[in-house]
Amino acid sequence: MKGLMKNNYYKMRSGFKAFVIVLILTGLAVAAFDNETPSLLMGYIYFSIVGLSLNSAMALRKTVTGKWDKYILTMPVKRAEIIKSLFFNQMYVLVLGIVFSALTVGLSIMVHGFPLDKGVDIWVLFSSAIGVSCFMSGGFFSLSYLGKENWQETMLIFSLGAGIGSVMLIVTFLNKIFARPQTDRQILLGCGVILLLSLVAMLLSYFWTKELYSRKEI
Amino acid sequence: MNMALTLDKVSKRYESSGFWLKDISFNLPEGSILGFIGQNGAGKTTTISCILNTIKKDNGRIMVLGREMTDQTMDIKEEIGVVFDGDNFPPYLSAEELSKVMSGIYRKWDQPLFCNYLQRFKLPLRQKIKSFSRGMSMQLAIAVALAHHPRLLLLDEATGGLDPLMRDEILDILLEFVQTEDHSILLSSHITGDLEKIADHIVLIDHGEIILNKPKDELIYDYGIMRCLVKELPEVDPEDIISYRKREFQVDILVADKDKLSRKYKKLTIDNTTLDEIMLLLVKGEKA
Repeated sequence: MKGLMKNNYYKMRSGFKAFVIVLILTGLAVAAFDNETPSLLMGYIYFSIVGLSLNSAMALRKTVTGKWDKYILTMPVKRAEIIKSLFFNQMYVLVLGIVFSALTVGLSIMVHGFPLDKGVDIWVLFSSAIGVSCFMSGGFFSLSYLGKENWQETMLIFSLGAGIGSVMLIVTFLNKIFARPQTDRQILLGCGVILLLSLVAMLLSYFWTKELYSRKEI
Repeated sequence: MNMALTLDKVSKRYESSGFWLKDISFNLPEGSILGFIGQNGAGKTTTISCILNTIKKDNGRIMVLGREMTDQTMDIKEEIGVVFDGDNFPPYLSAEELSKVMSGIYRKWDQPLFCNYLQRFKLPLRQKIKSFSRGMSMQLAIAVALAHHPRLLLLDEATGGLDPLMRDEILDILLEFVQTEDHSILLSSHITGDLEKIADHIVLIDHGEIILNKPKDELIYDYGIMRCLVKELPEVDPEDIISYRKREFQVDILVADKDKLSRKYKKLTIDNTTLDEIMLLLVKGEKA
């Protein structure tokens, strides 16, 4: 598992480095900018959480030329561990995205004060970004083992769309259940539902991807 | 005698291409080198993929180091070193990074031994694998395959496309490897010259079927090619003919016991043969 994680890191390293530098620079710019209109900060939360996951998902499933995909199966690692390492990696990246967002939001609040109408709104932003990221990653990993290798980009775009759609669907459903104006407690409960469902989606996707990979002949 | 590898009636059918691996059976005794030969598309890689469990066999039994290998038998995989034809490793890694990955995967990964092989092959530690030549890639694959102290090496066309000097160096390393009593090698190749140098047994596969399974020395020292004219062919007892091939004025007949037959057919010439000629006559020749 340790070796697989290291390989995953090396695999996504080159594109990832540039993305992290951009995240740091934009994070500093966003924190420095007046946050009276919070749209920049909201955009940054999505950019860091979803963008980082998108970047890593693509890198992790990028087709490697040669026999590596076959070679890896001859090594003392279970197929399930290969899939597990992908999901673990994606979770680490998600946490990294959350940390970047949290630092930028924290810095902005320290410099300019709280930018949103209600305190709970920040949780809505974070939970929806995490939800999109989880739905997208889970969907993409499963689809990438289901379809042809040269369809990866198409599948990633489709998964991103499906991730956004899933979160919007959950939000619509929650708005139907809770009458307006929603209380803080109801909003927080909604955030919890989004997080819970997105984690369930990741878990289901892990089991499905593992099943798909166990049948794959290379 | 203990077997490093046993295949018993292994079959695999591809519906899409119609290719069928038909009841493959052979043994690789511990401490020996088995040359697995056959033309391109004969089924060598499919057989090796079945052994390694990267594709699932339809029927039959494969015993690796005395046990059936599954996705769960990590201890057997620890004992196997593999080298495939072409690029075995991701291009984004350097040899140094690859060793870090491998040390996290193989319990018995021997970093000093790996570095020793890199020095022996004069391979750079920090250069990306994508800039390696084919020869360098194969040398790196051999180094990785040996650096976790395997007992069984499986090499699929590992010497193909290499220059003679590099091939010779790799063959020397393989010979060093089998000096240890329980070390064994399955070497698939269509370069039969390499196998003549190092193999103990030869298995020939054609169209998914094993058509020859003999000790190499028997093939080299006992087998021969009888040359006769087309009109002389009916005089040769069909029992003595393994296969024959008609050329313009002459017929080449593959025979199993050249000394005995040279006494029986005093007028006819029987030449020594090579694995190349044996393979050609068995694959392209006709049966009597």
